[in-house]
Amino acid sequence: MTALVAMSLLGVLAMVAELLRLRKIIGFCVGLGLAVVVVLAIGDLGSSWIPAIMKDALVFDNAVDIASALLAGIALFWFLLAGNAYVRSNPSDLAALVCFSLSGAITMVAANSLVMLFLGIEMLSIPLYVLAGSERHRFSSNEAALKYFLMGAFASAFLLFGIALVYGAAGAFGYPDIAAYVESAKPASPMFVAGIVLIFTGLAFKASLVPFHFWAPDVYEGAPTPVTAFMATVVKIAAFVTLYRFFDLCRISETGNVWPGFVSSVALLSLIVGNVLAFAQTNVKRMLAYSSISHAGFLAMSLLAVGSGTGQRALLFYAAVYAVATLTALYIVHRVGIGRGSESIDAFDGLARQDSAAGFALTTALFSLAGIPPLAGFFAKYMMFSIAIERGAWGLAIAAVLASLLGVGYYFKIVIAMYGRSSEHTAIPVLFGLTRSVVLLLSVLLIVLGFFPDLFAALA
Amino acid sequence: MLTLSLVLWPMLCAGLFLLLPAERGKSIAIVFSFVELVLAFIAFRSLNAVDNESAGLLVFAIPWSSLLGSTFAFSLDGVSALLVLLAALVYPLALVTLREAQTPRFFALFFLLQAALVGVFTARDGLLFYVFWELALIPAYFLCFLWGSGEGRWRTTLRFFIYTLIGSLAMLVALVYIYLHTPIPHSFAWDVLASTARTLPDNVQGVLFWALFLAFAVKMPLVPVHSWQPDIYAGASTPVTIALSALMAKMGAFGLLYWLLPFVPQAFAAYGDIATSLCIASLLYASLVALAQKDIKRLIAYSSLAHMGMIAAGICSRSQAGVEGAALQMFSHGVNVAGLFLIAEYLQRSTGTLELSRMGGLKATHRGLATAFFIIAMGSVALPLTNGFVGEFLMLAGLAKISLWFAASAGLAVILGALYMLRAYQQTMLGPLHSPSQRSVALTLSDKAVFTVLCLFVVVVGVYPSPLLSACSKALAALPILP
Repeated sequence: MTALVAMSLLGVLAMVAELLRLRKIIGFCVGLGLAVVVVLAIGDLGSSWIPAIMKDALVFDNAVDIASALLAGIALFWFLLAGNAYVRSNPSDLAALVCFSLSGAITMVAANSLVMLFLGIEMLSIPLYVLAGSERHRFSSNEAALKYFLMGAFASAFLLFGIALVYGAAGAFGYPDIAAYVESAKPASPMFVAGIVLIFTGLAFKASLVPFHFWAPDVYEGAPTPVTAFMATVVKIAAFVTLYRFFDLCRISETGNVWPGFVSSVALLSLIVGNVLAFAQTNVKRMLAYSSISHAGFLAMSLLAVGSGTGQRALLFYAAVYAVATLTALYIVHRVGIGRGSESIDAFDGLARQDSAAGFALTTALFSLAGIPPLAGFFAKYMMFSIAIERGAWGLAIAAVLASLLGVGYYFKIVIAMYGRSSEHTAIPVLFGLTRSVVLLLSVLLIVLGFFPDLFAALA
Repeated sequence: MLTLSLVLWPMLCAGLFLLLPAERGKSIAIVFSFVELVLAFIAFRSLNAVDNESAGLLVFAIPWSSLLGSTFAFSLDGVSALLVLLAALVYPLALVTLREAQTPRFFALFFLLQAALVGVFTARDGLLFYVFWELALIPAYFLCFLWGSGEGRWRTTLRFFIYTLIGSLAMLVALVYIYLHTPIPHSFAWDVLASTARTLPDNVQGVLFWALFLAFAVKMPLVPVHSWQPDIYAGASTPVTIALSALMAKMGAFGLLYWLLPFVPQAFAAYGDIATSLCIASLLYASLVALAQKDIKRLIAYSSLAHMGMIAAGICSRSQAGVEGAALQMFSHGVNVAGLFLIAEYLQRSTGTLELSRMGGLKATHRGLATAFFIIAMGSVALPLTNGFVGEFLMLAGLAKISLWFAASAGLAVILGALYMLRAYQQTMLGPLHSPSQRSVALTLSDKAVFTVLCLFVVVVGVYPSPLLSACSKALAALPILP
């Protein structure tokens, strides 16, 4: 709870800083504030708390605290890397938007009621609609903002309709009441099941699962790269953790046998479609967008294990590893775009020779995303494989294996370009200063988490 | 502890090389590799001491991740100690003969490869084995790609990577399946996996058999998943080729022996003959194609393919003689193929070409090289009193126990091997001097030392193989592989 309150206050402070003409220190304050939020979230671990002032609509148990710490931590790294991208224009407005978006993410994750779920999604998304269009003079940024807004409005409509149907069947918004309804009414009424499917659809839009993924490549490509990094990491993590908790706390799996097959098919489609389409891309940002669809497929595999500790652990570990790797990769893509003027694969030619730190960091991030041991991404994928195999979902396990293989194919295009080809670009180092250290720290983190996977997972 | 140091030392060297300055990299690398050789030799000797102290020395196990059910378990027995010794031996030989100065990054990757190889040979935990198996890919890929030659090498190295990855992913699914069937709490420990896999129903064992076989077949390689091998061996620089052919190929054979045979014996009873036929087909195919090669490096690559097919056939024969012969042949073949690729390197330095038709009559000007080539070639051909003979004889005896046809086909391939190897010798060393502008590159003292060591191994192991053979048989007797 303290983490949520701190985050919201931080957002208000950022907004007010504009009025008080505190532009110069706002970056430092927000960074410090995010670190404080992480500490508060970790400090809350071990205590399970339902604040009465919200009429039991929020719950802060261990999983929520870890997820909040993870979200705030990712945001902290994001801010260290990309925060100064906005220093020239409206730093406080943009910092405020990011903080409000994060409080929306924490609200979503901590939701114990469908109303809070909806509130959280809106708080998460609306600042991002603005942020996606923040490069006003670029056409594709405006296009991205409009597409994201339309998709988000559409998804919210699905979500609201689903919530209404569930309320109609269960008679309440709160998760415990819905769980009690599921216990008492077996088999669940068709209205209830339809409501659940619509809620899943609404959340799947945000998580860019197939077949609700069509917005992702255009929006990720068009938005400014720092915003893409935020969307690809924080939004996805929040969406999946929320989905997992919704399925878990409302005991959705007990409403019928249809859910494993449903989740498996969505995951399988996402894995295949994401990787097959990524193969054909020449723009690295777009390629990473499509690959994030396949990573969403992997994350969805954890939904098969709702109710056991393994699913939650696997989800949080995969989300953390994926977020670290994506942040690193997208940040380097951002710097290459600025330094060399293009984000296609050709722009990466000879990068490793000219800036070995960037080469090393990007290679580590891509190898982790591809799932090559001993990097942490391999262990994350391995946990998902074993969930699928344990439940006998052989088709899904084999699809995951093939998807990893395809992933290697296109990630290696970038690695080959970096190391193999020479280029005529002048040797401007792509990374320097604080951001260079942060990027290298993130790469080392991927290697360390690979050697000691227990470090993170023991927390869950 | 000793076993752990065998794995950690090359990793430490790799890390150190990232921090070292660029000059004198080669001398430092040679010193580092000699340290590893000393450690491996001590480990091999301490196998003979049966008391508890050395058993503690050789087994190392600490819990790694209770979440994943995996322990950091390494241990050495006869066969793995022999292979580790091979790895430790081949590295200094490859490094001493390196002529061009290399960046520290090369040595770092080279030592990382050694660490991964030793890790594969000593890991006694399924997940750890898989991690080291894949870990070997990363340095191999970069070494082949960045320090290779040839226009399309990004394509060949990518092909190599993807082939190996397909095999490894099949192996991962199989290992995870067995892991999930181990009694709770699940464990990846080798003996637990082996005992669990043996209790699985026959049809499941069959699927596991082929999944694991695919992974090991891609590494050795065996026909039909071999097409990555000749391009890679021919295109990489010599030390890398030596590491790949002498050591990385043995990962596949070692996997067959330790991670397939003890796991699915019933499936072996059903599919063993098919697997053996596949290995012998690979052997014959490779020998026939080797006959047609005009480039000496590709000829040696195909001969290596043939030898690995023979080793795999020996293992799949499941007879005591076959398996022991295969284990010894892994060592002998490693030594021989390292020697052959070094010979090819020197031939290229002297004549500027790798094509056999453009070489000839080198014996007159390169006496030492000719002698070394002859001895190593005879080892490869399995002339009696050379190291190759002991292994080949045992394997043929083992194959004959299953079926005389297998032994006859394998014998035919051995004859073909003699044919192309002797013809290669004839085309390079004998006959008229081909082009008068051949540079006479004299062997330096260190080169002569390397070749002397190799020839000594060929002859001494051929005449007195019993220490190695008894170490192998003692280790194999402890494995639950023979019916």
